[in-house]
Amino acid sequence: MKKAQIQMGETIAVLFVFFILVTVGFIFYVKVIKGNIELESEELSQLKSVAIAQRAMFLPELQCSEDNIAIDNCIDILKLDSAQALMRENEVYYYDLLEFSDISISQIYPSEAKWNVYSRKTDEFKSKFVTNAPISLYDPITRKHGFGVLTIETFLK
Amino acid sequence: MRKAQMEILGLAIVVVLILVATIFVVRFMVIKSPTEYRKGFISAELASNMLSTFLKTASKDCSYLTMTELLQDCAQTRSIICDNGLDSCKYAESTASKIFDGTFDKWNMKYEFLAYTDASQPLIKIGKACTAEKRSKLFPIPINIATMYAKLDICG
Amino acid sequence: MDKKGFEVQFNWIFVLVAGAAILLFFSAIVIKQKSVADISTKATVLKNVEAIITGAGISTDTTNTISIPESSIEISCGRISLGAVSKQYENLILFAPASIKGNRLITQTLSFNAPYKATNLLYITNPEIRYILIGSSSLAKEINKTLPSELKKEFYKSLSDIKGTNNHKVRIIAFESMTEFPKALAKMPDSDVTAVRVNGDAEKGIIEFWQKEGNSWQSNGKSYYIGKSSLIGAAYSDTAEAYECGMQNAFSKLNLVTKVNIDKTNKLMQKSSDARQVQCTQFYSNALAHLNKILPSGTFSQESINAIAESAKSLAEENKNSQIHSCPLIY
Repeated sequence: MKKAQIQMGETIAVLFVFFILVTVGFIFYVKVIKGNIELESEELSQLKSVAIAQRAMFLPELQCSEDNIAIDNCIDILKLDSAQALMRENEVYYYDLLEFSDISISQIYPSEAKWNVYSRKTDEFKSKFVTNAPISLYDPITRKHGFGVLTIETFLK
Repeated sequence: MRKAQMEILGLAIVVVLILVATIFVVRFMVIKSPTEYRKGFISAELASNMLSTFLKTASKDCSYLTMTELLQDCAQTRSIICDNGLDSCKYAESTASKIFDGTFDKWNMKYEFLAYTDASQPLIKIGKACTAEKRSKLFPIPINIATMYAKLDICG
Repeated sequence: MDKKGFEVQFNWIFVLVAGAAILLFFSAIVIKQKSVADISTKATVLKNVEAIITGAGISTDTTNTISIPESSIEISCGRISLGAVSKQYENLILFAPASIKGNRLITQTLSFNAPYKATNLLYITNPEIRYILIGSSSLAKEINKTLPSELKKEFYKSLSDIKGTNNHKVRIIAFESMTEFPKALAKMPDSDVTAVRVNGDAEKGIIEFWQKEGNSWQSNGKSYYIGKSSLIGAAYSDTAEAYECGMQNAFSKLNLVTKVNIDKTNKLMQKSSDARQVQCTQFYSNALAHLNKILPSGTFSQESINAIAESAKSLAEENKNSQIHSCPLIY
């Protein structure tokens, strides 16, 4: 082999090694980026589920009020039945707020009862979160509070 | 060992050190664990909501007195006897047990509920004390002689 | 050419080609990375705005200043966009200028009551926009007090009192007539100076949107407001269309909440009638009549505003009566 050919061979070998290193670096970089995207998507799903839970807890259609002052963590039981029917009739409107989720209210004390306020589930979900929030169930007629749990199941694609 | 061999060994040590450093950087800086937004939201809300909701709850067979009123009587005269024969302390305790059964126990969460005027001698104690991390909420309840407290610790 | 000369030349060509290939490869990566980073920043800003919108549904009477990466946010009816990244909403209740540029946002929320709370109204603006209130009425003073102190706001008695300073945008909220044009703003581009003229009281009234055209005002449409929160919405919105879009969505929500309140009042009336509480039954019956007048107000118009304003007053009266006579409250 001539000297020039050997030199060319060397250069090609150096370039080959260089590109292999670049490829390895690139694969590593892509993996890290992919990991970060998955992480962000997980965080985004969590934030979305928190947002839906918050929206559900503060719906004026359900929330108690005393002389127009909203009471936190309180649901007016006289509003429950009509809110349930309303959300079924206006499914598109509430989908914009509550997306794919299932919202139910269970009374634990003084007696047991359950209301399914909103339900729009999907089988094609990537993550599912269940948020339970203790709430007061207020009866404006007796002016007494019961104890209940607001369960919000969110399905995120 | 020849000089050239020593140089190669030195180079190898440098390469190994750089590799170890890179692994550490990747492990602690590049691979992050997701921020637990949901857990934060739930922890912040749960203990406080649970306690405030419980204290507002009206009793079923104790003239519709609220749990706050029953606890106040429990810490003072214990004069209230409910329709089922229990005094204010026992009634508030049984109601709290029932509520926590349907919530914390159902959700597999460890907790401790205390109602006291003197922390060393609680009037009501439900659940077990947390051994490690806990989220705590303390509600002061005014009574004639001093102040009583309702405290809820959620473990984990 | 001798053999050695050929070898040297070939070597140079080889280095050139290989160098160009490497340079091209890394340039492509850099360009791609830049566009990815751009989109990622825009998505982060949009995520922040979404969080603000969620928060607005929860907390009333709050004002926040939020730092965001330098961006230009375009807001139209039910749509928020940052370049190619956008989010569409079905029922967005947001009042804001059509374009917000900069790295800070001021957000404010107020509840929309008729007379019960129907929803929260969300306002977003930029601290760089100069808000000028003109007038001396009590309503003008009240609106000045309600607008957040974080805003660049000024309060003058008449349009001629306005002083000229370098500004990105100027928004005038006039409680007086708009006959004259302030000389201090004559040199500003037409699109950067807008105004809203308010004619009414704290309860309801007419608003007219204006746009600078040379050295005079050009009317940009008329609309109506009901309550202080709705009037503040008009102060933040650039155009009548943008304002009416937000109000239409607020009215849709009011319609839904009214349905729930009608059902609740019916139940209260039934119970009080069963318990022979004549006075309470009467209050609920009156309240139902008022609620039924608010119900058809699903669309935003002058007729529905008049109907709501009148019924809301009477309904508030019935709620007060219920309280005085120890009847359960309607709302």
